[in-house]
Amino acid sequence: MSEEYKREHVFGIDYGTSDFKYGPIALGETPEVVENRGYFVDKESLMSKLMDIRREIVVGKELPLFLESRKSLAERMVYPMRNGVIEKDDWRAWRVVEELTKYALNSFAPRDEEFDGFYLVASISMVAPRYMYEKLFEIFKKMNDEKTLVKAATIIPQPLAVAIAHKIPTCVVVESGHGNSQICPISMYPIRDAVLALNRGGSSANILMAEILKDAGYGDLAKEENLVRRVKEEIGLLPRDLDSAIDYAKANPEKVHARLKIPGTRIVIDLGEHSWTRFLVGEYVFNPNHGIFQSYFTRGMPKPSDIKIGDTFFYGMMDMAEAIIESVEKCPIELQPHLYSKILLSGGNFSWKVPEDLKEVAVTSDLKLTSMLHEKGIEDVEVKITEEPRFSVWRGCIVYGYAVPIDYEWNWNRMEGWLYLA
Amino acid sequence: MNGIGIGWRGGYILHRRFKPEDLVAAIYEEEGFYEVERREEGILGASSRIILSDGRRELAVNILDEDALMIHGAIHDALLQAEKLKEKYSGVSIAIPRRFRRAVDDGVLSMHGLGLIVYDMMGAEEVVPPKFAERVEVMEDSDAVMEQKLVSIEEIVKIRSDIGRILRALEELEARLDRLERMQRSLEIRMNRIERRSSRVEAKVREAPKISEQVKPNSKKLPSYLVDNPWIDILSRRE
Repeated sequence: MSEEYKREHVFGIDYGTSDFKYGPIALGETPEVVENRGYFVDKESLMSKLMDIRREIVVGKELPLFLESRKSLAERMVYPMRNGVIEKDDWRAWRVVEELTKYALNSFAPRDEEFDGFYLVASISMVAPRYMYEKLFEIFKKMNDEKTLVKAATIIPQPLAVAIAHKIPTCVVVESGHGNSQICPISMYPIRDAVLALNRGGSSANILMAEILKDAGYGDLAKEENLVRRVKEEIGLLPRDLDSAIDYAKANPEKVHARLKIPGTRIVIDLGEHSWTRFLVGEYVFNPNHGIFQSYFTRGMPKPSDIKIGDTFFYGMMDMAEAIIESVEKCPIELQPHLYSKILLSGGNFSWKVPEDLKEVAVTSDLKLTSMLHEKGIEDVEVKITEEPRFSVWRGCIVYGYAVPIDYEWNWNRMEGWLYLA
Repeated sequence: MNGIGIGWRGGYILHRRFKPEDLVAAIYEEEGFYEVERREEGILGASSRIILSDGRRELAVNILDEDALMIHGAIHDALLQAEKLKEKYSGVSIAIPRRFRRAVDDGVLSMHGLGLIVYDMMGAEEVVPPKFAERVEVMEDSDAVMEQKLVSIEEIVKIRSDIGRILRALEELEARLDRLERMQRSLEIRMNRIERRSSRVEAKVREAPKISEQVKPNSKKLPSYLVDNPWIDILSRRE
């Protein structure tokens, strides 16, 4: 098998917390995207009997066609990577991963005889424990049961893929996903000993958004997770300084007034006098220690707690700048200035809108973090939000597969290289 | 020639390693000689000696092995000792490993009536047949004996001069061997250098694959994230 064959058959998969991005190098700039979820079909239901559905599980673009009642949605819909980590014995989550992987590979497997399997580069959370790597390799091997789909496979951590996609060999990647955020210094290789994880991500902001919706009288809608996420993305704001932003909002209620119509429905959300709370959503992701959040905690909103998943400790309440400093300070002193000089923010959790008339008080994630780091005495900082953060992990996978030589075989100590499966 | 010819005898191509004594004895077997004595220790000028007899004549063969010939002057010593044996036996030969064949001059041996046998792991070959003396007749005539002794002394002088010539030839061979060994060493060094250089070139080529060269002719444009990406160079060096 030649380098040339490999370069033509590199296949990237990003097992993101919300979305599953996949596709071969031939796709160019953008991968295919489906939601990282699977629906377990009720074979006993009348609908599945009528439609002669023989599948146990449905994934991909046709998934919405199989959905049944809201009740069954909660029971049967599985989002396997919500925290970036799948429990070892969570068989339903692993089944979804298997089905999605098969779906992705089959979508692009060429039919010509020369095809002898893809060189698959998968990317998972930096904090994924070793058993996840083992399980994934098992799944990749299973892909070859009927025909050879995977010639060789490798798994890389998402922050490394982000750094690769952005052409930066020395940097700190802050990847904020649905369930958590990971801070990973990189210098040619990920510096695994310095990785730090926060038990806060997009879902934390969603929880706060749901509380805000409840307070504004939309308690029924607050239960719809996708809707809450959408509202957060549309009206949530990241304040330059929370106290000043709240003062500004109270002084200029018409400027911060939030009203949102959900397209295709009759739903209109108007936060009215609660519109100032838009600033809380963004702040909560970066720093949940402000006193104002205490009222939400006392009213029952779960406080992000310190937890241990796999071998990794996830901090609940540590602010983002503090976490970056702690992570960088685990690296050699000589390297630290280089790391601060390139901080990459990746993940949809950093995409905060800044309306033109609110530029005084609302900021983007890079500016927010720069100012937080300055406050803590870090001067020469350059924070950058990744371009097209949705696709950067997949792109990093493609570059990785394209460049790593075919004879660089998988090694469990360095957690790198190709594992040949066919 | 006394009926003992030059050449291979009896197809002694051997599949197992025989002793030189066996190989030498075997070539005279067809001529009716049989082994009457074998000594492997305490022989002057040889590693071992066998005495063969056809009932009428006795042939002494001094056998030198490779170890014995490694000693400086061993061949000369062997010739001198063989010369002495002529007084006692009807014929005398020396046997040496084939690779030392050129160290001995056939003409000189023939002139002195000494036989020469060469051997290797494939068998033995009689190169110069020994001259058999009619000892009984010689011993009867004492004047003739004296005369022969005088001749023998002259012969010894000649042998010494021959030995000197052989020694010079050996020294020359040694010098040539030294030169060859030096050339071999220098060639080995050059080869190693060339190999190292070519592996460095290979590594360089692998380290920096030119993206433009890897673009398939039919592909219009590389994705932006692959162009000028320093990670391509970093990752392609993983080994």
